[in-house]
Amino acid sequence: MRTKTFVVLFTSSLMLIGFIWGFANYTSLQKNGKLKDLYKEPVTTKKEVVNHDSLSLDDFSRKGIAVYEEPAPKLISQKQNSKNVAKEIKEETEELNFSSFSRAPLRLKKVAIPIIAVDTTVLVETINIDSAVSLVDTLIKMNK
Amino acid sequence: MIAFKQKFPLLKVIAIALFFWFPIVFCSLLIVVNTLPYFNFNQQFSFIVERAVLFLQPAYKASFYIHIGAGMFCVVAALSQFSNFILKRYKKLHIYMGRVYVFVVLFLAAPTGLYMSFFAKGSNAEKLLFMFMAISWFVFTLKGLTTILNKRLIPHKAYMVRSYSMALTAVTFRIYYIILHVIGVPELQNYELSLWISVLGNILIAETIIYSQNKKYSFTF
Repeated sequence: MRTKTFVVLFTSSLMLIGFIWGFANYTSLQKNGKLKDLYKEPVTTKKEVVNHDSLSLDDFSRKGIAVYEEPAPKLISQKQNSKNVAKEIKEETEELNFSSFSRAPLRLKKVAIPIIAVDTTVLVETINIDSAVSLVDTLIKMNK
Repeated sequence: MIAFKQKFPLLKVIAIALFFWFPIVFCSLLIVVNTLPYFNFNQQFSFIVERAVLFLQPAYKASFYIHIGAGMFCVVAALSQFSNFILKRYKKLHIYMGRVYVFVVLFLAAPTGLYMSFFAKGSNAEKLLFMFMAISWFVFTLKGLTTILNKRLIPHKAYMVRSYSMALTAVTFRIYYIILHVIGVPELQNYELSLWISVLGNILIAETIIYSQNKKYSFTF
Protein backbone atom coordinates (compact mmCIF):
# COMPACT_ATOMS: atom_id res chain seq x y z
CA MET A 1 0.00 0.00 0.00
CA ARG A 2 1.32 3.43 -0.86
CA THR A 3 2.37 5.65 2.03
CA LYS A 4 -0.08 8.37 1.05
CA THR A 5 -3.04 5.99 1.00
CA PHE A 6 -1.95 4.50 4.31
CA VAL A 7 -1.67 7.94 5.98
CA VAL A 8 -5.07 9.03 4.63
CA LEU A 9 -6.81 5.83 5.71
CA PHE A 10 -5.10 5.48 9.07
CA THR A 11 -5.52 9.08 10.20
CA SER A 12 -9.11 9.19 8.96
CA SER A 13 -9.77 6.09 11.04
CA LEU A 14 -8.25 7.83 14.05
CA MET A 15 -10.61 10.74 13.53
CA LEU A 16 -13.54 8.38 13.24
CA ILE A 17 -12.50 6.62 16.44
CA GLY A 18 -12.17 10.00 18.16
CA PHE A 19 -15.67 10.95 17.06
CA ILE A 20 -17.33 7.65 17.97
CA TRP A 21 -15.52 7.37 21.30
CA GLY A 22 -16.32 10.96 22.19
CA PHE A 23 -19.97 10.52 21.27
CA ALA A 24 -20.22 7.24 23.21
CA ASN A 25 -18.55 8.66 26.31
CA TYR A 26 -20.61 11.81 26.13
CA THR A 27 -23.91 9.97 25.93
CA SER A 28 -22.99 7.53 28.68
CA LEU A 29 -21.84 10.29 31.04
CA GLN A 30 -24.93 12.30 30.28
CA LYS A 31 -27.15 9.30 30.90
CA ASN A 32 -25.51 8.80 34.30
CA GLY A 33 -26.04 12.47 35.11
CA LYS A 34 -22.33 13.04 35.58
CA LEU A 35 -22.14 15.96 33.20
CA LYS A 36 -24.47 17.95 35.43
CA ASP A 37 -21.54 18.96 37.62
CA LEU A 38 -19.31 19.84 34.70
CA TYR A 39 -17.77 23.32 34.77
CA LYS A 40 -18.88 23.89 38.33
CA GLU A 41 -16.54 24.03 41.26
CA PRO A 42 -16.45 20.62 42.94
CA VAL A 43 -18.75 20.17 45.90
CA THR A 44 -17.30 18.37 48.89
CA THR A 45 -19.23 17.36 51.96
CA LYS A 46 -16.39 17.52 54.43
CA LYS A 47 -16.16 21.03 55.73
CA GLU A 48 -15.81 22.65 59.09
CA VAL A 49 -19.08 24.05 60.31
CA VAL A 50 -19.12 27.78 60.59
CA ASN A 51 -20.84 29.42 63.46
CA HIS A 52 -22.57 32.52 62.28
CA ASP A 53 -24.34 33.31 65.53
CA SER A 54 -21.93 36.16 66.17
CA LEU A 55 -23.24 37.96 63.13
CA SER A 56 -26.72 39.05 62.41
CA LEU A 57 -28.28 38.75 59.01
CA ASP A 58 -27.95 42.50 58.65
CA ASP A 59 -24.18 42.20 58.90
CA PHE A 60 -24.20 39.96 55.89
CA SER A 61 -26.58 42.19 54.03
CA ARG A 62 -24.27 45.11 54.53
CA LYS A 63 -21.56 43.06 52.83
CA GLY A 64 -23.82 42.49 49.87
CA ILE A 65 -24.78 38.98 50.90
CA ALA A 66 -28.15 37.68 51.89
CA VAL A 67 -28.30 34.74 54.27
CA TYR A 68 -31.38 32.60 54.40
CA GLU A 69 -32.37 29.94 56.85
CA GLU A 70 -33.51 26.80 55.15
CA PRO A 71 -35.62 26.12 53.25
CA ALA A 72 -34.18 28.54 50.77
CA PRO A 73 -36.87 30.81 49.42
CA LYS A 74 -37.63 31.08 45.77
CA LEU A 75 -34.85 33.30 44.69
CA ILE A 76 -35.79 35.66 42.00
CA SER A 77 -33.86 38.72 42.92
CA GLN A 78 -35.40 42.13 42.60
CA LYS A 79 -32.15 43.25 41.09
CA GLN A 80 -32.57 41.08 38.05
CA ASN A 81 -33.04 42.90 34.82
CA SER A 82 -32.96 39.74 32.77
CA LYS A 83 -35.59 37.04 33.05
CA ASN A 84 -33.14 34.41 31.86
CA VAL A 85 -30.66 35.14 34.61
CA ALA A 86 -33.45 35.00 37.17
CA LYS A 87 -34.48 31.63 35.82
CA GLU A 88 -30.92 30.35 36.06
CA ILE A 89 -30.69 31.38 39.66
CA LYS A 90 -33.91 29.65 40.53
CA GLU A 91 -32.76 26.45 38.90
CA GLU A 92 -29.39 26.65 40.58
CA THR A 93 -31.00 27.04 43.96
CA GLU A 94 -33.36 24.17 43.46
CA GLU A 95 -30.54 22.00 42.28
CA LEU A 96 -28.61 22.75 45.42
CA ASN A 97 -31.60 21.92 47.56
CA PHE A 98 -32.09 18.53 46.04
CA SER A 99 -28.58 17.32 45.26
CA SER A 100 -25.58 19.07 46.76
CA PHE A 101 -27.69 20.34 49.61
CA SER A 102 -28.80 16.93 50.76
CA ARG A 103 -25.24 15.62 50.74
CA ALA A 104 -24.03 18.30 53.13
CA PRO A 105 -23.76 17.81 56.90
CA LEU A 106 -26.91 18.87 58.66
CA ARG A 107 -25.53 21.81 60.56
CA LEU A 108 -23.90 23.12 57.43
CA LYS A 109 -27.20 23.50 55.66
CA LYS A 110 -28.31 26.25 57.91
CA VAL A 111 -25.41 28.52 57.27
CA ALA A 112 -23.72 27.75 54.09
CA ILE A 113 -26.11 26.75 51.41
CA PRO A 114 -28.62 29.50 51.10
CA ILE A 115 -26.13 32.27 50.75
CA ILE A 116 -26.87 34.33 47.76
CA ALA A 117 -24.62 37.07 46.56
CA VAL A 118 -26.55 40.11 45.54
CA ASP A 119 -24.55 40.28 42.35
CA THR A 120 -26.27 37.57 40.37
CA THR A 121 -23.41 36.86 38.02
CA VAL A 122 -21.32 35.98 41.04
CA LEU A 123 -24.03 33.73 42.30
CA VAL A 124 -24.25 31.63 39.18
CA GLU A 125 -20.52 31.24 39.02
CA THR A 126 -19.65 30.53 42.61
CA ILE A 127 -22.47 29.07 44.57
CA ASN A 128 -21.63 25.72 46.12
CA ILE A 129 -21.04 24.46 49.60
CA ASP A 130 -17.32 25.07 49.73
CA SER A 131 -17.28 28.59 48.41
CA ALA A 132 -20.33 29.55 50.42
CA VAL A 133 -18.79 28.32 53.67
CA SER A 134 -15.49 29.99 53.00
CA LEU A 135 -17.35 33.18 52.15
CA VAL A 136 -19.11 33.15 55.50
CA ASP A 137 -15.88 32.23 57.22
CA THR A 138 -14.08 35.20 55.71
CA LEU A 139 -16.87 37.55 56.61
CA ILE A 140 -16.92 36.39 60.21
CA LYS A 141 -13.17 36.92 60.46
CA MET A 142 -13.51 40.36 58.92
CA ASN A 143 -16.15 41.32 61.46
CA LYS A 144 -14.35 40.01 64.53
CA MET B 1 -1.52 50.83 -1.92
CA ILE B 2 0.43 48.85 -4.55
CA ALA B 3 2.49 51.92 -5.33
CA PHE B 4 3.16 52.31 -1.61
CA LYS B 5 4.30 48.70 -1.35
CA GLN B 6 6.59 49.13 -4.34
CA LYS B 7 8.01 52.33 -2.94
CA PHE B 8 8.59 51.06 0.56
CA PRO B 9 9.27 47.32 0.46
CA LEU B 10 11.33 47.45 3.64
CA LEU B 11 8.57 49.23 5.51
CA LYS B 12 6.13 46.51 4.49
CA VAL B 13 8.47 43.81 5.76
CA ILE B 14 8.98 45.62 9.06
CA ALA B 15 5.25 46.23 9.48
CA ILE B 16 4.41 42.56 8.83
CA ALA B 17 7.14 41.44 11.20
CA LEU B 18 6.13 43.85 13.91
CA PHE B 19 2.34 43.59 13.77
CA PHE B 20 1.88 40.03 12.54
CA TRP B 21 4.80 37.73 13.21
CA PHE B 22 6.10 39.21 16.43
CA PRO B 23 2.77 38.82 18.32
CA ILE B 24 2.28 35.35 16.85
CA VAL B 25 5.75 34.13 17.82
CA PHE B 26 5.54 35.74 21.25
CA CYS B 27 2.08 34.33 22.04
CA SER B 28 2.96 30.90 20.63
CA LEU B 29 5.99 30.65 22.85
CA LEU B 30 3.93 31.95 25.75
CA ILE B 31 1.44 29.13 25.19
CA VAL B 32 4.27 26.60 25.21
CA VAL B 33 5.64 28.04 28.45
CA ASN B 34 2.18 28.03 30.03
CA THR B 35 1.49 24.48 28.89
CA LEU B 36 4.66 22.96 30.32
CA PRO B 37 3.52 23.10 33.99
CA TYR B 38 0.58 20.82 33.13
CA PHE B 39 3.09 18.02 32.70
CA ASN B 40 3.82 17.82 36.41
CA PHE B 41 0.33 16.20 36.36
CA ASN B 42 -0.85 18.34 39.24
CA GLN B 43 -4.65 18.52 39.35
CA GLN B 44 -4.87 22.01 40.83
CA PHE B 45 -5.05 23.95 37.56
CA SER B 46 -8.36 25.76 37.19
CA PHE B 47 -8.82 24.21 33.75
CA ILE B 48 -8.67 20.76 35.36
CA VAL B 49 -10.63 21.66 38.48
CA GLU B 50 -13.68 22.82 36.53
CA ARG B 51 -13.51 19.62 34.47
CA ALA B 52 -12.96 17.38 37.50
CA VAL B 53 -15.71 15.00 36.39
CA LEU B 54 -14.06 14.52 33.01
CA PHE B 55 -10.58 14.01 34.40
CA LEU B 56 -11.86 10.94 36.22
CA GLN B 57 -12.27 9.40 32.77
CA PRO B 58 -8.94 7.90 31.61
CA ALA B 59 -9.82 8.51 27.95
CA TYR B 60 -10.41 12.22 28.52
CA LYS B 61 -7.34 12.59 30.70
CA ALA B 62 -5.14 10.87 28.12
CA SER B 63 -6.66 12.91 25.29
CA PHE B 64 -6.06 16.13 27.17
CA TYR B 65 -2.37 15.48 27.79
CA ILE B 66 -1.81 14.18 24.27
CA HIS B 67 -3.64 17.19 22.84
CA ILE B 68 -1.71 19.85 24.75
CA GLY B 69 1.61 18.06 24.26
CA ALA B 70 0.99 17.71 20.54
CA GLY B 71 -0.23 21.29 20.39
CA MET B 72 3.09 22.53 21.77
CA PHE B 73 5.06 20.68 19.10
CA CYS B 74 2.67 21.82 16.45
CA VAL B 75 2.89 25.51 17.36
CA VAL B 76 6.69 25.42 17.51
CA ALA B 77 7.08 23.36 14.33
CA ALA B 78 4.79 25.66 12.39
CA LEU B 79 6.69 28.84 13.30
CA SER B 80 9.51 28.14 10.88
CA GLN B 81 7.33 26.97 8.01
CA PHE B 82 6.30 30.30 6.57
CA SER B 83 9.78 31.79 6.35
CA ASN B 84 10.98 32.22 2.76
CA PHE B 85 14.51 32.45 4.12
CA ILE B 86 14.31 28.99 5.70
CA LEU B 87 12.50 27.59 2.68
CA LYS B 88 15.23 28.77 0.31
CA ARG B 89 18.32 28.26 2.44
CA TYR B 90 17.35 25.34 4.66
CA LYS B 91 14.84 23.38 2.66
CA LYS B 92 15.54 20.21 4.64
CA LEU B 93 14.58 21.97 7.86
CA HIS B 94 11.31 23.02 6.23
CA ILE B 95 10.62 19.43 5.17
CA TYR B 96 11.57 17.98 8.55
CA MET B 97 9.53 20.47 10.56
CA GLY B 98 6.66 20.03 8.12
CA ARG B 99 6.66 16.30 8.75
CA VAL B 100 6.63 16.88 12.50
CA TYR B 101 3.70 19.30 12.14
CA VAL B 102 1.70 16.98 9.88
CA PHE B 103 2.34 13.92 12.05
CA VAL B 104 1.43 15.74 15.23
CA VAL B 105 -1.79 17.18 13.79
CA LEU B 106 -3.05 14.13 11.93
CA PHE B 107 -2.13 11.43 14.41
CA LEU B 108 -2.42 13.19 17.76
CA ALA B 109 -3.87 16.68 18.06
CA ALA B 110 -6.86 16.52 15.68
CA PRO B 111 -8.29 13.12 16.78
CA THR B 112 -7.94 13.98 20.48
CA GLY B 113 -9.38 17.44 19.78
CA LEU B 114 -12.39 15.85 18.11
CA TYR B 115 -12.89 13.52 21.09
CA MET B 116 -12.64 16.41 23.56
CA SER B 117 -14.97 18.63 21.54
CA PHE B 118 -17.96 16.68 22.88
CA PHE B 119 -17.18 17.98 26.35
CA ALA B 120 -16.29 21.55 25.39
CA LYS B 121 -17.36 24.41 27.61
CA GLY B 122 -20.32 26.42 26.39
CA SER B 123 -23.49 25.52 24.58
CA ASN B 124 -23.99 22.95 21.81
CA ALA B 125 -23.00 25.63 19.31
CA GLU B 126 -19.53 25.83 20.90
CA LYS B 127 -19.26 22.04 20.92
CA LEU B 128 -20.07 22.03 17.20
CA LEU B 129 -17.55 24.79 16.65
CA PHE B 130 -14.84 22.74 18.34
CA MET B 131 -15.81 19.76 16.18
CA PHE B 132 -15.62 21.93 13.10
CA MET B 133 -12.18 23.15 14.19
CA ALA B 134 -10.84 19.63 14.73
CA ILE B 135 -12.24 18.30 11.46
CA SER B 136 -11.19 21.29 9.35
CA TRP B 137 -7.72 21.28 10.95
CA PHE B 138 -7.41 17.62 10.03
CA VAL B 139 -8.73 18.06 6.47
CA PHE B 140 -6.60 21.13 5.70
CA THR B 141 -3.46 19.43 7.00
CA LEU B 142 -4.19 16.23 5.11
CA LYS B 143 -4.82 18.22 1.93
CA GLY B 144 -1.59 20.14 2.55
CA LEU B 145 0.23 16.81 2.74
CA THR B 146 -1.36 15.18 -0.28
CA THR B 147 -0.91 18.27 -2.48
CA ILE B 148 2.82 18.46 -1.75
CA LEU B 149 3.18 14.73 -2.38
CA ASN B 150 1.62 15.43 -5.78
CA LYS B 151 4.03 18.38 -6.18
CA ARG B 152 1.20 20.94 -6.35
CA LEU B 153 2.88 23.85 -4.60
CA ILE B 154 0.17 26.52 -4.75
CA PRO B 155 -2.60 24.45 -3.14
CA HIS B 156 -0.04 23.03 -0.67
CA LYS B 157 0.86 26.51 0.50
CA ALA B 158 -2.80 27.55 0.68
CA TYR B 159 -3.86 24.48 2.65
CA MET B 160 -1.00 24.83 5.10
CA VAL B 161 -2.01 28.47 5.68
CA ARG B 162 -5.55 27.24 6.34
CA SER B 163 -4.26 24.52 8.64
CA TYR B 164 -2.05 26.94 10.54
CA SER B 165 -4.97 29.33 10.92
CA MET B 166 -6.81 26.57 12.77
CA ALA B 167 -3.77 25.79 14.92
CA LEU B 168 -3.46 29.46 15.79
CA THR B 169 -6.98 29.65 17.21
CA ALA B 170 -5.37 28.56 20.48
CA VAL B 171 -3.28 31.73 20.37
CA THR B 172 -5.84 34.20 19.03
CA PHE B 173 -8.52 32.90 21.40
CA ARG B 174 -6.38 33.91 24.36
CA ILE B 175 -5.65 37.33 22.88
CA TYR B 176 -9.36 38.06 22.34
CA TYR B 177 -10.18 36.60 25.74
CA ILE B 178 -7.76 38.95 27.50
CA ILE B 179 -9.05 41.96 25.54
CA LEU B 180 -12.69 41.16 26.32
CA HIS B 181 -11.80 40.46 29.95
CA VAL B 182 -10.21 43.90 30.23
CA ILE B 183 -13.32 45.43 28.66
CA GLY B 184 -15.36 43.69 31.37
CA VAL B 185 -17.31 41.05 29.44
CA PRO B 186 -18.60 38.33 31.85
CA GLU B 187 -16.59 35.11 31.85
CA LEU B 188 -18.85 32.70 29.99
CA GLN B 189 -19.90 35.21 27.35
CA ASN B 190 -16.26 36.19 26.97
CA TYR B 191 -15.30 32.56 26.46
CA GLU B 192 -17.95 31.99 23.81
CA LEU B 193 -17.37 35.28 22.04
CA SER B 194 -13.58 34.88 21.96
CA LEU B 195 -13.98 31.39 20.58
CA TRP B 196 -16.23 32.46 17.71
CA ILE B 197 -14.16 35.53 16.88
CA SER B 198 -10.92 33.56 16.90
CA VAL B 199 -12.19 30.75 14.67
CA LEU B 200 -14.10 32.89 12.17
CA GLY B 201 -11.48 35.64 12.30
CA ASN B 202 -8.64 33.22 11.61
CA ILE B 203 -10.48 31.67 8.67
CA LEU B 204 -11.14 35.12 7.26
CA ILE B 205 -7.53 36.23 7.70
CA ALA B 206 -6.22 32.99 6.16
CA GLU B 207 -8.46 33.29 3.12
CA THR B 208 -7.52 36.97 2.72
CA ILE B 209 -3.83 36.06 2.76
CA ILE B 210 -4.35 33.23 0.27
CA TYR B 211 -6.49 35.44 -1.98
CA SER B 212 -3.98 38.29 -1.94
CA GLN B 213 -1.09 35.99 -2.82
CA ASN B 214 -2.77 34.13 -5.66
CA LYS B 215 -4.04 35.64 -8.89
CA LYS B 216 -6.49 32.80 -9.36
CA TYR B 217 -8.10 31.87 -6.07
CA SER B 218 -9.60 28.68 -7.50
CA PHE B 219 -6.07 27.30 -8.04
CA THR B 220 -5.61 27.12 -4.28
CA PHE B 221 -8.03 24.21 -3.94
